[in-house]
Amino acid sequence: MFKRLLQYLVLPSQVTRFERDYLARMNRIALLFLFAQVPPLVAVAALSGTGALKAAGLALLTLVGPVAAYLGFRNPRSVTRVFAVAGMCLGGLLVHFGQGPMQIEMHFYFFVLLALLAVFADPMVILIGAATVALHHVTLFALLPRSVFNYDASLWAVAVHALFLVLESVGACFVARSFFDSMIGLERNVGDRTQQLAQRSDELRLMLDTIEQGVLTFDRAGRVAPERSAVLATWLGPCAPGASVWAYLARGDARLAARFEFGWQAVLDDVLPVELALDQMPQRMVVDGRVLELAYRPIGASGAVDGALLLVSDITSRVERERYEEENAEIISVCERILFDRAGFVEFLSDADALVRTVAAPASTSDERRRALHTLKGNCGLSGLPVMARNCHALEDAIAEADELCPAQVENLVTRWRSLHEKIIRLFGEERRGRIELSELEHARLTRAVVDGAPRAEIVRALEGLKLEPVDARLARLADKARVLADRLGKGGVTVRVESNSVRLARADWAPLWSALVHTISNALDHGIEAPDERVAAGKAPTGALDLSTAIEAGDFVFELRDDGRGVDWERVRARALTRGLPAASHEDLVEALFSNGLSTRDEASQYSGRGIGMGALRAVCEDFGGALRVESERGRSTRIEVRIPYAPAAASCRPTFVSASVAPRNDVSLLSAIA
Amino acid sequence: MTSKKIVVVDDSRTARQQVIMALADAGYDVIEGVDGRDGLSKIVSNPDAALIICDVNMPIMNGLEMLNALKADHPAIQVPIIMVTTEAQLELVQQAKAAGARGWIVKPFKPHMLVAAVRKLVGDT
Repeated sequence: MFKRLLQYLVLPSQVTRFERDYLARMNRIALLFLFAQVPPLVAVAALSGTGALKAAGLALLTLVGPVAAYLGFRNPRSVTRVFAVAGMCLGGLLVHFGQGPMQIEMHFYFFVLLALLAVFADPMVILIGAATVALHHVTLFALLPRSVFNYDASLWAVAVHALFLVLESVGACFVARSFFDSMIGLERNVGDRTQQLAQRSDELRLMLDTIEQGVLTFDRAGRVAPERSAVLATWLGPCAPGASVWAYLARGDARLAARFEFGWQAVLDDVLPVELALDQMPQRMVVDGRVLELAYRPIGASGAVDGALLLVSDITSRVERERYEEENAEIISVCERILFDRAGFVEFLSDADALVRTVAAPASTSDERRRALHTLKGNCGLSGLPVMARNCHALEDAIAEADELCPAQVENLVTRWRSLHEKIIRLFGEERRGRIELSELEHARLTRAVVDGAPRAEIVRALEGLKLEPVDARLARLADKARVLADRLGKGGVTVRVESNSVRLARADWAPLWSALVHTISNALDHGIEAPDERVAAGKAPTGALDLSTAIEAGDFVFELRDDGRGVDWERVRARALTRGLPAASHEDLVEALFSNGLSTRDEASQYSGRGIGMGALRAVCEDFGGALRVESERGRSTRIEVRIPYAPAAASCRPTFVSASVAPRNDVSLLSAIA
Repeated sequence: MTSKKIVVVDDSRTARQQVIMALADAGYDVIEGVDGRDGLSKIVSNPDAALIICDVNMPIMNGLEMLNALKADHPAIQVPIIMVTTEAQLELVQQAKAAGARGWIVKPFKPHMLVAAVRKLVGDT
C-alpha cells in the first residue's frame, strides 16, 4: 500500500526527451511568471503601507534561487521543484506584506499556485509546494503570528488552513500524475511500442528471408506489397515498386500475365465462389527450368476480398521424382514386353519413332499429325507405355479443342520419347534391326538340307526366304493385342481366330499396314462387339468372336477382319456425314464417310478408339499401296472388312520391294517341308 | 417449392452427365442441350431457367455463337450464363465475358465446386 503510494507520488527516474522539452518550455514560462509576481507584491506592500522597498528586496532575493536553479540544474524536474518552493515563499511575502483587512484573502495565492503546479505533471512538486506552505504557517504562527493572520487565530484556524491544503494537494497530485501518465508518459509508451513493433517486424523479416516458400500479398488492384519472402527474388528477380503481381510473375509473358489478370478479375467480379475463382487462377508455371506451384488465399474480413496471399513453392524436384518413377514403371513394362515379344517391340519402337517425327515435323499437315498421334497413342497403350499414351491423348484433346498444337506440348512429347527411346536402346543394345529369328525346327530343316546335299539354288532360296516374315507371327501379335484390348474394354474372353494361309511378306514394307490394322481391330472391339449383357439380350453368346485371316487371291494379298458384333449403324454414319458436310447419298458415299478422318459414330473418344482416325489410317495405307477397302455389314450380326492389295503390281518402281518377296513363300514352305 | 431449372449445353455426353449428376444431387432440375443450336432452343423454351451452363467448344454452333445468338434474337431472356472451358481457351472466354457471360469454370472441375458456384449464382446460399 505504502509502496504503491510512493510509486504513485514519485515519477520513474527516466526523463524522456519529450518530457525534457516540455518542462524546459514550462520552466521558462514559470520563471517569467515568478518575476511577474514582483510588481503586484510591491504594489500590495505599498497599498498596505508595509514597506514597498523591503518587499521588492525580499521578493528579488527569493528569486535568486529559481534563477540559479534554472541556469545550473540539468534535470528540469529539479528546477521545477525549486520553483515550487520559491513560488510559495512569494506567497508568504504576499501574506506578510498584505497585512491589514485583506490579509486572509491573500491566502488564496497559495491555493491558486498549488493548483497551477499541476502543470508540471509531477506530484512531488505539489508535495514540496504544500510542505513549504505548511512549514511557513507553522513557523510563523509560532514566531510571528501577524505575518500570517490578521486576527488572533487559534490553533484550530491553522488546522482548517492545513486541511484545505491537504485536500487540494491530494487533488493536484492526482491531476499531475494523470497528466504525466497520459500525456508525458505517452511518448514513452509509444517509444516502447514502436520498439516492440520494430522487433516484431525484424522477426517477420527474418522469417520471410529464411522461409523456402515464396510468400507475397497483393491488393485488389494486384499491387504487390513490399513485405515478401526473399526467395521470390531468387526465383523471379526483383519486383519493381508498385508492380502488379501478374507483371511480376509473368515476367514479360503477356499471355500468362493476361491469364493472371483475367483470373483475378473473376475473383473481384464475385460471381463465382471466391474459392473456385482462386482455384482457376494459374496453378503452375515454369521459370528458368524451375517448376513453381502457386496457391492463393483470400485476404479480407467477412467475405469481402481486399487482396490475396500468394504462396509459391518450388516443386521441381517433386515433379522430377514423379517423372522418374513413371519412367521407371514404363521401363519395367517395356522389359516385360521385350521378354514377351522382342521382335514386336522392336518394330513398335521404330514405328513409334517415325510417328513422333511426323508429329514434331513442322512440314506435317494437321491431318498427318492427327493421324500420327492417334496411331502413336494406340501403339503406346498396347505396348505398355501408358504415360506416352496419355500424353498423346492430351495432345489429341488439344487439337480437338483448339485445332492447333501447342509447341510446348509437342516439345514435351518429343523430349519424353527421346529419353525413353535412349533408355530402351541403352538397355537392349543397338542390334535390334536386321535380325533374323530362326526356330529350332527351321534350323534343323536347313541343316538337314545342307547335309543331305539338296540343290544349291533351293538352299539359297530357302535362306532368302528366311528374310521374309511369315504373317503367322503378325497375326498372332494382332490377336494378342485384340485380347488385351478386349479385357481393357470389359469385353474379356473374346475369341480371336487367325488363319494365315501360309502367307509370307517382306517385313519392312508391310509395317504400315500392320500398324493401321491395330486401329481397325480396336474399332471392331470397341464399337462392333457389344458388351456381354447386350449380346445375351440379342440372343448371342456372351463373348464375341473376331476372325483375322490373310490369303493370296487372284494376285492380290487379302486381309479380312470379321466380327460378330452389332454391325455398322449406317443411319448414324449418314447423320454424322451430313453434319460434317460429306456426301451421304449412296452406300459408297457412306463407306467413304466411314473411312474419312475425324468421323466417329461415337460421342466420346475413349483412350483406345473413337476419334474416327483408325479407319482413316487404314484407308490411307490402302491408298498408298494401291489397294481397296470393302465393308460389308449385317445389322446386329456382323461386320466384315476386307483389305485387298495387289500382290505383284506392275508399277514396281513406286511399290515397295515385296514384289520379289511375293514369289517366295509357297516354294519356300514346300522346300522346307520337302526337306523335312 | 419446385426445384430451379438449369440448362446445361455441352456436346460431350460424359461432360453433361458429370454436371447433371452433381446438380441433380444438389436438387436442381437439369435440362440438356447437345450443341449450341439445341441449347439455344432449350433456353428459349425454358425462359424461367435460373442458370445456363454452356461449353465453349461445340459443333454446329459453339458456346460463343450461341451466346451472341441468344443476345441478338432473344434480348428478353436474361438468364445468367457461365461458360465451361479448358485452360487453353482464354481468348474465347474473354470474348464470352464481353458478350455477357457471368463467369467461367475450367474443366476438369470438382463437383462440389460446381455446386457451390451454381448455388451462389442462383442465390441459394
